[in-house]
Amino acid sequence: MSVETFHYDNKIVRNFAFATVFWGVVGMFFGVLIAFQLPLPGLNFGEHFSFGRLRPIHTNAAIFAFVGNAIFMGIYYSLQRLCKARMFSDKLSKIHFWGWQFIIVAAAVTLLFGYTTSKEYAELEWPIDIAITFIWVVFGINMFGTISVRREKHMYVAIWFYIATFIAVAVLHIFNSLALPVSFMKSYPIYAGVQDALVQWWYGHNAVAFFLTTPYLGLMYYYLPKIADRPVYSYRLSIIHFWSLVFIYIWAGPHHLLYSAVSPWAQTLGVIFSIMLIAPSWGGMLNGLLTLRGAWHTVAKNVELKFMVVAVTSYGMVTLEGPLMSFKSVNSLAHFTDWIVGHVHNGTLGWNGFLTFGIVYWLIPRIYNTKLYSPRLANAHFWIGTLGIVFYLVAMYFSGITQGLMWKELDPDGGLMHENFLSTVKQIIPMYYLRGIGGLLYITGVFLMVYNLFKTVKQGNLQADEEASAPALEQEKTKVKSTHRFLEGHLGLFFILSTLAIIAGGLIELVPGAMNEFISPTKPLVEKYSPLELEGRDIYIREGCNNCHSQMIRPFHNETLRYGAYSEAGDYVYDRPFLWGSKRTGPDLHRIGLRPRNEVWHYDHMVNPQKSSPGSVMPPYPWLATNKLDTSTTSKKIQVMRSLGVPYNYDDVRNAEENLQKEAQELSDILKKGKIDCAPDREMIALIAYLKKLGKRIKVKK
Amino acid sequence: MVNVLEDEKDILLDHEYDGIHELDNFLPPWWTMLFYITIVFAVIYFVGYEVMGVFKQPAEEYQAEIAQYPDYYEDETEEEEEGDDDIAAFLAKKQQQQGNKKEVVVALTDEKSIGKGRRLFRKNCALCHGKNAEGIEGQGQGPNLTDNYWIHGEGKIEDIIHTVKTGVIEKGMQPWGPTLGNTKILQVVSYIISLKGSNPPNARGPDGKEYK
Repeated sequence: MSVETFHYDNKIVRNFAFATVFWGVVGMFFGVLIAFQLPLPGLNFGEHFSFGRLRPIHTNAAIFAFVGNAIFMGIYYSLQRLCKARMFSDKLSKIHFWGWQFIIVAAAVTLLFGYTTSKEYAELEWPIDIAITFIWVVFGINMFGTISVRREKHMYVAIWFYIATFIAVAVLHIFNSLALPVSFMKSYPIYAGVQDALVQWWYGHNAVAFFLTTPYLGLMYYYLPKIADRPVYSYRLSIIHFWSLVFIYIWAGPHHLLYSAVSPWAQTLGVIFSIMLIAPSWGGMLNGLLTLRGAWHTVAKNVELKFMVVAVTSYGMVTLEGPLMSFKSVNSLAHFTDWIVGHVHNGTLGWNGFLTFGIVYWLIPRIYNTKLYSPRLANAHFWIGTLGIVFYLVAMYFSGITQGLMWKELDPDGGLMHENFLSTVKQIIPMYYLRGIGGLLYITGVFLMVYNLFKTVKQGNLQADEEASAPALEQEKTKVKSTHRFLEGHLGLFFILSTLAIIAGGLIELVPGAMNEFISPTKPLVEKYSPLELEGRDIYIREGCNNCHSQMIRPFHNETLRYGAYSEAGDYVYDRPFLWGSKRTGPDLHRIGLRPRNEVWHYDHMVNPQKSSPGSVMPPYPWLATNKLDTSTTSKKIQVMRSLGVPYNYDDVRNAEENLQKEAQELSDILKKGKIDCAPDREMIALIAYLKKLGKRIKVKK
Repeated sequence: MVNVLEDEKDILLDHEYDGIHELDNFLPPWWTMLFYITIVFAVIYFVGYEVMGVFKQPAEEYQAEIAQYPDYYEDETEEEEEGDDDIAAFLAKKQQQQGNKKEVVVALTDEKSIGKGRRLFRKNCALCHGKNAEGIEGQGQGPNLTDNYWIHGEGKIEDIIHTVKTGVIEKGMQPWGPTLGNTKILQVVSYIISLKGSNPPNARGPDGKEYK
C-alpha cells in the first residue's frame, strides 16, 4: 500500500473565513440599523437608505454573505480532510471565492438602487441570478471533483449534507428565478399570483432548509466531534435523520401560506409535512448533543463547544417551534407578526451565528499554527452574544403576540377593538427598542471576536499548504456490510438518490397546480393593470413596500372587517410578481383602493407619514413627489406581460405611453382639486394610481 | 485515540474519518416513537381534510365564524342603493318622508337605525375619526365629531350630511355619496348626532369654530 503525500489548501479557507467575518459585521450592522429605523423613522436616510431597501440588504447579507461564506469556509476545510485530498482545483477555488464576493457586492449595490424582484431572499435581478448559477456550478465541480479523487473509500455524513445542499440550492434557485427580462435590471417572473407565491415559498422555506440548515448540520457533524474529541453518538441516527430530513423538508413550504388563496390541499400538505419534520430535525440535535455525552465537563472550559451547544440547542428550539407554528390555530395568530421575525432570528443568531463563531474560533488558530489570542475575550463574546439573543427573542415574542392579539381583539359588539392599525403599532414601540439593544449586544460580541481574531492572526503564521499523507485508495473487492455503506462509497448513486428524495415534494406540490392552471386557468376577478398602474406597482416593488405591507387578506372576521373581502386566487391572476408579503409592520394593502383613503391622503401620507399619522413608523418618501417617472420601458413592459400571457392586445402595447399620460393627467387633476400640485409625470402619480386600483374587482351584473 | 467511554467500546464502529469515529447506538426509543406519532397524525390530518372532508377548510371555517356576527354582513346581501349627489333633492325627499315642516330633516333615533349607523361608522369612519368619533391627532386624521366645534358647517344634520356626501378632498376625506347611498348616510349621520356631548376618552382637541 503506497502512502501518498499531499497538501491541504488552507489559504482558501482563510479567505472564506475573513469574508465570513467581514460580511457578518456588514449584515449585522444593517440589521441593527433597520431595527432602530422602526421606532426612529428619522434614521431612514433618503432614497437609498430607507427601510424597504435596507431590509433585503440585511437578509441577503446575513444569509448569502455571512452564512454563505461560512458554509464555504467550513466545507473547504472539512471536505479536504474528510476526503484526504486537496481541493480539486485551486483555480476553481479562486473563481468561486472571488465570484461569490463579486455577487455580494453587486447585490448590495443593486438593492440600494432599488433593483429588486421583491421575492424574499431571491430579490436579486436576473443578471445576478445567472452569475449565482455560474458560481454555484463552479463550487459544485470543485466539490464533486474533490470527492471523486478522495483517498477515503466512504463518504462521511457531513459530506452527505454538503451534497444535498448543492443539489437543492441549485434546483430552488433556478426554478424560483425563472423570469422574462424587460431590460438589463428588470424582469417579470414566468409565474403569476398564486403559482408565483407557491414557487416562492417552496424556495423561501427551503432556502432556510438547504442553505441555513443542511450545510450547517454537515458542519456540525465535522466540527463538533472534532472539537469535543468524542465519537458521533449514532451512525444509524445519522442515516435515518439525513434521508428523512431531505425528503420531508421540501414539502413543508406551503406552511408559509396557510389561510391564503393557495389551494387548501397544498396547505394541508404544508401542515402535515411540517409536523413530520420534528423528529428528523431533532435527530440532528440529538446526535449533536449526545455526542457530548461524557464530555460535558469540557464544555464548561471550552468556548468553541459552548458556542456549539447553544447553536444546537437553538436549532432544536426552532425546529420544534416551526412545526408548532404550522398548526393552523397557532398560525392564525402568529402569521404576519413579529413572532415570525423572532423565530427566524433564533435560528440565524443562535444556530447559524453561534455555530459559525465556534468554528471560526477553532479553525483560525489551527490554520495559523498558533493558539487563540484570548479565550477570555471569546468567553465574553459568548455571554454578550447569548444575552443579545435573549433580548432579541423576548422582545419579538412579546411584540408578535401583542400584535396578533390586538389585531384580532373584538369588542362586545363584534367590531374591532382597534380599528386604527396605528394603535397596535404604538403598543410595541418599546419592544422595537429592546430588539435593537439585543442586536447591539450581539454585534458588540462580534467586534470582540474581530479583535481577538486579528490578534490571533498577527501572532501566527498561515500554513497556506498544510502537509498531509494518506494511503492511496485501492479498488478492494471486499464485501460491503450494508446497503448504506455501499452507497457511501458511490458518489454517483448517492447523488441520484438524494436528488430524487429532494425533488419529490416539489414536483408533487407544484406541477399539478401548474398543469391545472394550463388546462383551466383561474378566472380573473380583477381588471389587468393599466400602464400607469403597472409602473406604480414597479415603484411599490422598488421601494420594498412589501417588506412591511402584506397583500393577503385572510378569511377571518377581524381581517375582513379591517381590510375588506378576503383574498382569492382570482384577485392575483395578473400579479407578476405576487406581493403577498410576509409581515405586517403596517396594515394589509390588498384592498387599500376601496378603503376610505383618497388620493390626497396618500400623497400627504407618503411625503410625510409622521405628520399625517403621528406615531407612524413608516419611512417618508418625499422623492416620489419630485422624481420623474421613467416611461422609457413602459410599452416594453406591457409587451413582456403580453408574451407571458396577460391579455393585452397590440394596441395596448403601442399606445401604452399615451394611455399612461392620459391617466396620469386625470390623477394630477384630482390632486389639484385637493389643493396639491403634483405634475402628472411624477412617480407619486403612478404609485397612487396603483394603490387606488388595489382591491377593485370586476363588477359582475346580477 | 478518541475519547471513548467504557460502555461504548463494543459499539464503536471500525471506520474513522480524519479522526472522527462513530458509535452504533440504537435510535433513542422516544425519538422513534415521536416520529411514528407525527406520521400517524399526518395521515389522520390528511384523510380528515382531503379524503373524508370531516375537518373544516379555511373557507368553511370563515362562514362559521362570520355567522356569529350577522349584523356586520347583512349589508353584503342588501340591494345596493343608487347614490346621488343632489343634496337639496335628498333633503327635500327626507323632509317630505318625515312630514316635518319646521326643520329640514330630523335625525333618526330608533335603536335599529342607530345600531346600523354605529356599525357603518365603525367600518368606514372610525379609521380616521376614532372608534368613538373622538378624533385622532395628525394632519391625515379626522376631527372629533362629538364636541361643539365644526369645520364645515355648524354641526346641523344637513351640514354633516353635506360633508359626508361630498367629502373633504383636500383633507383626504372621500365623497361617500356614491358608495354609501342615502339611507346609510342618514343612519350614520344620525349615529354621529347621537354622540354629541358624549365626551369620549382621548379626544382630539377642538378644530374649527364653536357652535352652541
